[in-house]
Amino acid sequence: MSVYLYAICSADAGVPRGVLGLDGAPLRMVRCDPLAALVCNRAAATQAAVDEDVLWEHERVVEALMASHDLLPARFGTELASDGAVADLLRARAGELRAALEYVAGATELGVRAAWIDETEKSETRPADQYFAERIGVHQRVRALADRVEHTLSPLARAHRIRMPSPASAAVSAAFLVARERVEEFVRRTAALDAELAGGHVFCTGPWPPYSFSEERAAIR
Amino acid sequence: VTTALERLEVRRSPRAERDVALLDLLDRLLAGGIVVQGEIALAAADIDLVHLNLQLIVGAVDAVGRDLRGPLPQGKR
Repeated sequence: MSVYLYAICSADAGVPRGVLGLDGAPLRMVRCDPLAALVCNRAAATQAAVDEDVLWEHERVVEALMASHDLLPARFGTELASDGAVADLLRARAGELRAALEYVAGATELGVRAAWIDETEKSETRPADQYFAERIGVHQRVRALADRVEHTLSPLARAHRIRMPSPASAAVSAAFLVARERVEEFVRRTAALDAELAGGHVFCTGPWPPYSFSEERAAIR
Repeated sequence: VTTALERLEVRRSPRAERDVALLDLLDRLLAGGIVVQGEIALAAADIDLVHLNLQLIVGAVDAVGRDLRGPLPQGKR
């Protein structure tokens, strides 16, 4: 038997109600003051196939805790040998984990995706130099879109990460750490940007647990 | 912006929207969060997941492209 980790939070958090862990196992808290970890037992023998439902159920557990407490979500699939190993983790990394919790306190993550509507006809054949000129043009326009998203939305966020599009990609993906009380404003601003953009679309997903703002912060300390 | 429970309803929504939400979920679950050194044991290493992952990303990238040409509701998951 091993222990499956969902999230790390402060020691005063209780087990969220109405949700179960992996394979229906009850959720538990492993506490090591001032931190706690939300976990469930996992029988070593059961190697359930990972599918879409398993991913969403994992997310649902983390979000149930997020409804009442600031937390640091664990990377999906994190498993430790025992409660003792969990407590060791909370003790050994207490300083960085507390700093990371403080960093995300009162905030949530919003995902933003943006893309230009592709006006070029893909099946149309054309000379190589024209093709490459078009590719470069597309890439420059996507970078400009990323800059616009960053410029417009980052003032509303505590932190942000823009994934710069690769030459092969025509879409921008970004994550913003937004104070809970500014989420509505952020969504409105995203909608306004979408309306302003001629020939492009911007939309957001969330709120998510702060997946994109947990580890980098913890690693600094 | 929706609650978690509402977001689970995304599984009953049109395929393109589901894929966008799932792609965002995958980006976060598999590449974000606290990493416990040397302890990623379970699912991320699972061959099923790798397979699923590739299928989803290929499917979802295409779906995002399709979806962005039509109206997409704000904050829809």
